[in-house]
Amino acid sequence: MRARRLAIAVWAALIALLIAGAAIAPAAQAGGSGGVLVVGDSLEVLTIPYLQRYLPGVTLTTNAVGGYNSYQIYDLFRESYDPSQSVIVFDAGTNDNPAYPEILAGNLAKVAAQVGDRCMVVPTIHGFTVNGIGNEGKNRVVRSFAASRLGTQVPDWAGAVAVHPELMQADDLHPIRPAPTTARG
Amino acid sequence: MIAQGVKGCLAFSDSAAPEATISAAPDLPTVDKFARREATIAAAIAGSLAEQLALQAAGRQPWLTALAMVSAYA
Repeated sequence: MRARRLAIAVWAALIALLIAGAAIAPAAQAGGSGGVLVVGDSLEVLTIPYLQRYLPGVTLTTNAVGGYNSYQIYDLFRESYDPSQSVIVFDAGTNDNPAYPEILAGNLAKVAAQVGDRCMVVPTIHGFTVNGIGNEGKNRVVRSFAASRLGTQVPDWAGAVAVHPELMQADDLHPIRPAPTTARG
Repeated sequence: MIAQGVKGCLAFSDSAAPEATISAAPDLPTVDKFARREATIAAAIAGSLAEQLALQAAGRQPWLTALAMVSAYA
């Protein structure tokens, strides 16, 4: 009799632990554990050294490749994303064809779908004008994405370049070093 | 600029956590779920005790033992 009562008590305790574990585990995973993932193109390649300087103590995972469009940067994201990361910097779109801003919109949506409620940093875009089409469409996508997603941070790189065009390299795509790159970081 | 964005995100995440806790507090369906589970466990324990009493009263007859086991899971 006593043994059976003990068994019941143990069983009840185990069930309670299982219930508590199920309740706590998703909450602990929802926002990551403070790490930051940075993916992007050549602009991000230039920026990453400054991020490491300006964010001491923050665990940074970086994966950036010059010339990559937002499809390819989404692939970098998939390679490097880990649920322990709390913040995702998706620095993409500069190399996308400005006639098709929906490409950036689609890749941003895919990232958002995977990271859940984690916070994202999505800079505005200063890229080439192609066939008379500028980057307004892509920047509308960025702002619309940010407006639809609470907490999203939008560093206004396009705005900074518009105010200080003299700080760009001859290609009008990359900042000269170090001052503007530092500012971008 | 991007580092500031990251800091903004980290600050947002920090401030969002207490909000989630507050908004989760009055989540009655979850509380109900726990309450129902607790009631089920309590009922199971009470059922087991009743089963023991029944077994004692029945003088350990095998067919009553079988009935008691079924009733604990039904």
